This record gives sequence, structure tokens and C-alpha cells, in this order.
Amino acid sequence: MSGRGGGTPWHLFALLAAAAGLAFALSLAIGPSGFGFKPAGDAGALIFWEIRLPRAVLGTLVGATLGLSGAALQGYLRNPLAEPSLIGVSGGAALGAVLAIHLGLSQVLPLALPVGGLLGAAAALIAVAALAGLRGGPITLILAGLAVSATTTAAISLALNLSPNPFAAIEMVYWMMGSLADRSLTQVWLGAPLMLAGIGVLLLLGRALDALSLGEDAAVSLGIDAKRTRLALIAGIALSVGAATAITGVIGFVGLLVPHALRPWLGHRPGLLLPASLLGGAILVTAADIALRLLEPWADVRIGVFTALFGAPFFLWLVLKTRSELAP
Amino acid sequence: MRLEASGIKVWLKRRAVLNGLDLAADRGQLTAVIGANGAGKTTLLRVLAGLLPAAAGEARLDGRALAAWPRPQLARTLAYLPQERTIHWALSARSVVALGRLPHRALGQGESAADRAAIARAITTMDIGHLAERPVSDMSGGEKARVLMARALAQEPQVLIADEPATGLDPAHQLALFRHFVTFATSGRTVLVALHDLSLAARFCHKIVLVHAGRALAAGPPEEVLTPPQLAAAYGIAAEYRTIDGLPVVLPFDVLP
Amino acid sequence: MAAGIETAVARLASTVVLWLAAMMALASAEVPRRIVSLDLCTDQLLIELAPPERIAAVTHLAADASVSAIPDRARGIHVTHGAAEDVLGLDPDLVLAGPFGVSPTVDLLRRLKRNVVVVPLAQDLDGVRLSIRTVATAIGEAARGAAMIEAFDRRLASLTRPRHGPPPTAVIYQVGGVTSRPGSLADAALSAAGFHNRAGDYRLSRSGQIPLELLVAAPPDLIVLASAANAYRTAAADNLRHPVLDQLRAARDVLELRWQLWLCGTPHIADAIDQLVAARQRLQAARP
Repeated sequence: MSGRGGGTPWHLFALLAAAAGLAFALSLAIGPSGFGFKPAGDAGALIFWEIRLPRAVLGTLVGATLGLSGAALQGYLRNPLAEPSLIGVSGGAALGAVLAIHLGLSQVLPLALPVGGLLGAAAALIAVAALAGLRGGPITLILAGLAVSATTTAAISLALNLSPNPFAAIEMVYWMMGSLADRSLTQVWLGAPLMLAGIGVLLLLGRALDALSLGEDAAVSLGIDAKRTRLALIAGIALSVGAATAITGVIGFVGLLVPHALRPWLGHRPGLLLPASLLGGAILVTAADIALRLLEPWADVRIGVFTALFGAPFFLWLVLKTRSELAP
Repeated sequence: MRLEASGIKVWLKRRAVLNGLDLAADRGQLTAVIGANGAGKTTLLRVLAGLLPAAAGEARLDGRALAAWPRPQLARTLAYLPQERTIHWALSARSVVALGRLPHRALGQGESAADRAAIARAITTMDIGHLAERPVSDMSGGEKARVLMARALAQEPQVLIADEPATGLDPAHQLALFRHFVTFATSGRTVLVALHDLSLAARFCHKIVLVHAGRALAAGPPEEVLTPPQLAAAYGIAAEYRTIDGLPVVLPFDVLP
Repeated sequence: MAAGIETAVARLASTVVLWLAAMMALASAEVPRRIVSLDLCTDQLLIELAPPERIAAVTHLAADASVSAIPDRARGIHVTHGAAEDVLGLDPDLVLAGPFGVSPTVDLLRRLKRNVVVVPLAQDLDGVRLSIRTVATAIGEAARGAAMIEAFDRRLASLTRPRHGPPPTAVIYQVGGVTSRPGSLADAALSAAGFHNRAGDYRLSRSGQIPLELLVAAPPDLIVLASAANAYRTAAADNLRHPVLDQLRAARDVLELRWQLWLCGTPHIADAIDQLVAARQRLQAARP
């Protein structure tokens, strides 16, 4: 059932969808005040609707965003090392969001927050593309991504340093190590439309990514519009990753891990990897969030740290593997 | 369908790569484009495939300007095999061949029965049935070349443009590939290839266009184009066109001063 | 009988004489004239204990209304950002520092033979008294320090009259979900006002945070908010803007108590305790 044939591996998708649903349900039922959908009596409904539901929805939506955007980036750049946090897109989103908050824009217009994230993500993506060239090799891309990440981190530090609020240090952690905790439905309503719009745009790229397996010239000759594809990619990533990061902070490595894990099951087809990574990302982030909540009494770990714990060694391994493949 | 170029000019990095080139490739014929390295063969093929706009002059397909062809229709009519034979993911051979059907599938539409039939035919023609489920990353150069050719065939185009399809293939594969080209052409299609191997061009192609200094130095049947003075002018070599057992061969003797 | 009284009077007289001598000796000793403070808490104590002409500089935080209890009194006083070079340029004869954040500067100043007094962080009301006494003695205003402590004690005594019934529960909830840990100054303020600090019953994270869910599931009788939700432009304050808190306001008593009052171990904590006591009285009056 490796899906190398012409058909869609429906079994795999059914499995992923079921797992995502299960994770979502579990996420609604687990929390410090008890297991179940209606914990702790009177306040139970309040907890369920205002605290657990936003958390579960965000976990699923943000996970889907990160998984999908990783798959889309890798497919477009023909590069398995591409990932929104590694190439500086998440950092750019965080910077946009920080500026929206610290310039007071988000207090006047709440939508300014995810829009700030969107603009920051788009700017970072364009910067990386300009630095690396869209046809650069894998290592070039990582270097460009490092440069953009370093720049955005420095800019965020500067913004927080100059900000008069006394919580700058906590806030740095907040952005750099993402978290799903204590988010409200209001924040979900702010970010969800943009995330869904971005997801929608990215899901349409399946054909283009498949055709691009043969290189850009062959893809164009197969009827793919190169310019529109590039625009759709930038717009989709900016919308989805921008809004997600503005609400949760940077959660990295999901877009690296999920496509890599699912690729062999889909015959390496980049088009099919898009919806699969969407589901896979939702499962990964929700499951990680559940694990964190179970660990909560003993260790207070943020989800960004958790994903980095698994993602960073994996990334190192991937770099070494790529290097050995490139070596003469 | 007739593929034509008249007065094509293309500038790349402030150099006139093509400087007023004329070419015609007809139905039922295998036409070759030859010329020294850097003569502009790839650029010419890309212009004729609609991938690169010409700065001046016009490319026409079936009498209509290439620029006037809607992209989706062009994709269903013309297949392009680039020089670059990288396949970026470890797709199965069948998946690669199936990519040729993309121009015939609407967005969101899966594979139809017609698609599956075309894919099967292409696989049979190129004799890669036994490779269908194998990842292309495990294949040799010759096998990969056949898979890519099958992709182009699955597209069911009227025109096939291939940039140096024989480079890097062993003699057996080269012969096999060109026999396929001839069969494809003589079944009523137009085939245009760029080559380095002059003997191969002489043996299989109905018409040869010799590109030099951004123009078509000569165009016509092999024996008319591959003459010593023209080869000397285009390649800077002393060479002769011979036939051995009825098969044409071009022998390069020496580099001219 | 007469002999006993005679001895007592003699002993008293000698003590008084000794004491007067000590005071005169102290009075004739050099009191610091150029005092620099490198910490918000010592800033505030310094400003309230020393005459302004003897203060060379305080930190920029002293005039910052978001963290200082006495921003107006700090206006016009020279500001230092704590760099050793800057401090040396002021040529201080006494440097007051807190336990955090300036240890390289403090080390350097000590090596250069400057007089540095490190005032420990107050963790309870005794700590407040110790802080006052330490600063007062160091700057040569022991009398004023004693008077400040006395006034503080008097005020506390009037606030913390004996109570009846079980203590109501309270929690101080801050930016980032941080609460009043047991053993902290905030905890001491709550106890002094007659509350049981609920934070001790929850399982707090390492950084003293409490998940909002727990606060909602088992809320205390009084929730004390240390900052207004929109007081700071920071994403870390999102927990204060969570809609659930509005629901809690409707169901429970909420007190907005500026953290400037109990952030440092100064007598202003009595203002905090005052407001907490008033809240407790309201709660107990509302109880059936």
C-alpha cells in the first residue's frame, strides 16, 4: 500500500483523518482540572468552551498549517530541508506580530495582529527567495534561511528591548518557544479565517508541485503557470504561517518532520503529500500538546521546545544525509 | 502540425544568442537542430516550446503565433523534453509517466479511463512495463531516459521537442530512442530534436538545421547540410560525410586552425 | 528596697549616657553624601529616607509609573542605568544594590574599594523591616528608618485586627499566568490581610504559573489582578485579556491591586494590605 500506483491511497487518508479526529477529541478531554468533556462541575462548561475548545482547535489548525506549509515549501523548492521555521518565515511572522503589538496597532484593531504576522512572513519568504534564488541547492537555502532567521530574531530582541513594558524577557520566550496554552476563542476567530484561506490556497498547488518534479521548464510545458504558482505559494504560506505564528509564537520542525515521515507512504508524490501533511501536522501538534498537558505536573515545557527536541536532531541527521548524497 | 520560426532574435546577458533565425519542422518528419556548444540550440528549442519569448521575430505552430496559443491548449499539443533529466523525487516510473496526462486533466479531476489507457500505451511503447513500480532514483540513465520519453508520449502531443535526448546514453539506447522518434514522427507528428552526435542526426533525421552565429547556416536533408565547408564554418573541424553499408556517418578528422 | 531602686536608676543612667555617647559618636562620623542606588527597591527606600541633596542617582525605574510606587517623588533625580563607568563618574561614597542583575558592576565597584551595600529581597513583612533598617543604617538615617518601621507597624496593627471565622481564599494573578507563590512577599501581604493564599493549593509550574483552567475550575473567593489587562503592550498579557476572566468577575470578587505596591519590600505594602483588608470585609459582609 505504498501508493506508488496511479491511485490515491484512500486507506492512508482515512487512517490519518481518524487519528486527527481522535487527537482532537482527546485534546478536549484532557486538562489540569480533570479528564472528560465536562470537568469540575459548574465551571465545567466554561472550561470546555472557553479554554479547552480554543486550545484543541488551535492545535489542530496550527498543526495542519505547519505540516501543509512544510510540504508545500519542500515540493516547490524541490528540497527536503525546507520548512517555515528553518527558512526564517516563522521568525518573520513573529517579528510582524511583535511590531503590531508594540506599536499599539493591535490594541486599536485586533486584526492587525495576524495581518502583521502575514506581512512579516511574506517579507521573510521573499527575502529568502532573493538570497538563495529559487533554484539554489539545499545548503544554499538553509544558509539563506539562517541569515533571515538571525535577522528577525535580532529585530525582535531590539523591539522588545526598546519597549517600555517590564515583561520583555518573558515575551521573548513567548515568541521564540511557541505555546498553545490559555488562548481564547477570540484569538481563534482572529487567526482561523486567515489560516484557512492560506490552507485553501496551498492545497490547490498539488498539480503544480507534481509537475515541478520534472523541473521548471518541463512543468511549464505541461501547462503550469510558473508565476501564478510562485505567487500562490507565497500568499498561502504568508497567510497560514503568518496568522498561526502571530497567535502561538514559533513552533518549529513540524513542517520538516511530517512530510518526511509521510512521503514514502505516498510514493513520494508531492501533490498527495499536501493533504496528507495537513492531517499529519494536525495530529502531531495536537498529540504533542496532549503529551505536554500530561507532563504538566512534573515539567512545564512549551510546545515549541517540545517539537525542537525531536526536530533538531532529526534536522541534523537530514543535513548529514544530504551532505553525503551531494559529496563526490 | 508545422512548427516554424521566422527571424527569431533572442538576447541573453547582452549577447545576441539568436540573431534572425528561420526554421521549419514539418509533420511526419524528424528534424534535427545541430551546432557547436553555445550556438543557441537550447535557446531555440525553448523559444519553439513557448518557454522563452523572442525579442524579435515570430514562432508559429500550425500557422498560429505561439504567443496566441492558450497555455492549456499548447500543453495538450506540444511536449517538451528538457536537457535536464533530473527527477526531483523518488517517484515510481508510472507516476512520472502519469505526469504527462496533467494537461488533459482538469483541476481536481483524477485519472480517467482515457488517461490510464494513454499511460499504459506509453509504457508499452517504451518497454518499461517491468519498471513501472520502481522508483526512478534506482534507475540507470538509459532507463530514466525511456521513462521520460514515455511521459512525453503519454501527453499524446502533436509536436515533440527534445533537447539532446541521446546525450549520456549508450549506443544501444541511442539507437532504440531514435527509432522511437522516427516511428512517432512518421505516424503523423512533428518531432524536433537538438543533437551533438552528427552521425545519429545523419542516420535518422529527415531534415537537419545547422545553427551558427545565431542563424540557420543551412537547412535541408543530411547530405546537403553536412558538407565539409559548412561543417568547417559551424564547428571549426575538418569532417566528411560518408556512407558505410548504406548507413550515413560523419567522420571528424581534425580541428581546423 | 531603696537600695534596689538606686541600682536600677544607676543602671538606667549609665545606659542613657552610653547611648547618648554612641549617638554623638555616630553623629560626628561621616554620613554618605553622594549615594547611588542601582535597584528599584533600594531606590524607593532611599528616596523616602534620605534628603534629595544626598542622592547622587537612582535607576530609571524609580520614575517609571508602571513599576514604581512613588514615581512623582523620583522625578528630577539624576538617573543612572547601572553601568560601572557611569556609577564611577558620579563618584559615590555609598552604593545601594539589590541581589539581582548588577553583580558584575557590584564586584567591580568593590574591587575599586567603593562602599557597596547589597540589600536582600524582602520575602515577608520582617524582610520589609530589615530592608528599611539596612538602608537607613547604611545612609546614616537610622532614626528615620526606625520611625518608618514604627509607622509601618502601627498601620499594620490597625489593619490586622483579630478576625472571626475561616479565612477566605485569594490568589494574585499576573501577566503570563504567574501567581503569588507561598513564601513570597505577595503571599505575606495576603496572609496579613487575613486571606488564605490559594496558590499554595494549586500545583504551580516552575516559574510560578497557574493554568487558567485551574483558576476557573477551583477559583478562590477573591482574585487579585496585579495589572490592568491593557496596561502593557505585550503578548504575554494575553492571559489577562482572556474572556474567561470577565466571566470570573461576574461570579467572584475581583480586586485590581497595582503591583507597584508589593513588588518591592517598602512600607507601601501596607497600602496593598489596606485594600486587601477592605476586600475581605466586603466579602465577609456579603456572606450569609
